[in-house]
Amino acid sequence: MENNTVNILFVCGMGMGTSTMAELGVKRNLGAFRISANVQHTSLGQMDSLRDWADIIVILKNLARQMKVREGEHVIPVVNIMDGKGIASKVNDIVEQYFPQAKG
Amino acid sequence: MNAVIDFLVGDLLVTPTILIGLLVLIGYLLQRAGTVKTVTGTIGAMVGMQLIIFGGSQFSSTFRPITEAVCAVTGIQGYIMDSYAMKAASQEALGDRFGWMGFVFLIAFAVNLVLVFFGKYTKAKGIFLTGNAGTAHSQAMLWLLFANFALPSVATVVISGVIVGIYWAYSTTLAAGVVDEITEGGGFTVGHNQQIGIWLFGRLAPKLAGKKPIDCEEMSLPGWLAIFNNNVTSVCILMFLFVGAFCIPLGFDGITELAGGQHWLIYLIMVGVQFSMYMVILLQGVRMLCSELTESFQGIQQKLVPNAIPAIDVAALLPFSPNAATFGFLFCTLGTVISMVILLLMGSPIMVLPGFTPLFFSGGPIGVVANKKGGLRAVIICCLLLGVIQTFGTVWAITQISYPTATGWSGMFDLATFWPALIQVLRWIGGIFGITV
Repeated sequence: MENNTVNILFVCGMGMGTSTMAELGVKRNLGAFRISANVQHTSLGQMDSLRDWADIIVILKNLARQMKVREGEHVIPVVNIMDGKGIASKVNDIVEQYFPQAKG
Repeated sequence: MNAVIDFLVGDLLVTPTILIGLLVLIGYLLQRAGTVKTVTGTIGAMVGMQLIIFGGSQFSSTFRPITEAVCAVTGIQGYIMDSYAMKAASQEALGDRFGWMGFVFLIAFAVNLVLVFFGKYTKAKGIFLTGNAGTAHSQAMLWLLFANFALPSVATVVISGVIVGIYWAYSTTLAAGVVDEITEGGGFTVGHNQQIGIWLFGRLAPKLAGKKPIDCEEMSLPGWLAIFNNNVTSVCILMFLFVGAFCIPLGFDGITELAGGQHWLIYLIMVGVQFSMYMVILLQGVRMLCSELTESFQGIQQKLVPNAIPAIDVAALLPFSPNAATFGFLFCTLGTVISMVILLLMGSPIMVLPGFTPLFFSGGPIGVVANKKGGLRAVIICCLLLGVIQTFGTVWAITQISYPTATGWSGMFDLATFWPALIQVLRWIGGIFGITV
């Protein structure tokens, strides 16, 4: 969290195709919720290097199962990555509750 | 004037990173992206391109001494089957011409768009949006045509683009029905390296269901299997195991000699760690080069053909059946190992060592498809079969690349079946006109 902007990290197997598509879909829908966000995407293997940066982690459901959620971390496991609207509304729920500053 | 042409043809076109940087720059200028975005995006893409070249060449230089040593003892030439080995091999083979894959990519995307735009007549529906796989296809097809046909360079670039574009349009359309069913109307299809496989196994799986199909999701799997979901870890372990097994003919002394005196075990562990490191470098490069590409291509698609089905990375299927994805990975690996043993017993002069990508990103999604359409029994049979097809198909593909010292080739389903079949047919056609090399 910096400058009233929430950091969202998208995680998939290789950190390229699927997380990019999820990121694009969500980014397009965040405007409607008036959320100001920074987004990045990465692979499960490289996730730890960005974990301190991230406020919210959007991760494929198959990769989320063995993940230990840390304190203060918010994780959204996703089944359909093309559901940008649905994921964005889950992001919105978390933002409203924990990061209200990020709402414009 | 001649100096300008010399500079263009002799320097600019043969420096892949500069050429790609230029293409990206033009893209930003056309989009009127603004000064900051244009400069940062262009330089970012060029650094990404350089990372890919560096990672690929390191990949090769780590593996080459191993294959040479084993070949000297056994006469067997080893190849890695992994998308990244194909990237490394084709960019090395193309050399100065590597940057031309940018044109192949653009032509392919344009052909894909046109085919879908006239979908009423062509029946094509899918638009290929996976930048990372798309660049790999472009450079691989470009090299395959250079390697197999004596055609002028410009023709080779154009034909490569047209073929790749047609493959994108129809393979993604073929998989659309199955993917729609599996994802219960997820609104996408797969545009990656195994979409023909998804269609095929989607047809096959229901016939293998047995009397009472067991849903993989109702079973509980041991938690430690999750380590294979982690790409960095998985590459390291798999490469350690497979390269280690491949080195057995050298004996402990032979491996120590290969390692320049380092202990054999330390050397093999380091080989695994290094492969994983080079993959991370490659991934970072691809991410810097392709992420923006995906965004702008999706933008173009939504503007021009809003009703098309976006064809995206296959990993999007995995969350729909996580257990089946793990089973798929395991049985695809088993099928691959069985095929490797068969290759060995047959006395094949070519041996292939599977990487992470064909096992995880073909095995996983085919597992998901088979589970939804036929349960556990179908998963086991389909994925064993998948491993066998991918292994023997890759050996076939390697015989076509005319590059004996290649690190390897893709190993993914489509590139081990449809692609070599297509090249074979083109060779026959080319033979009629006397242009086959």
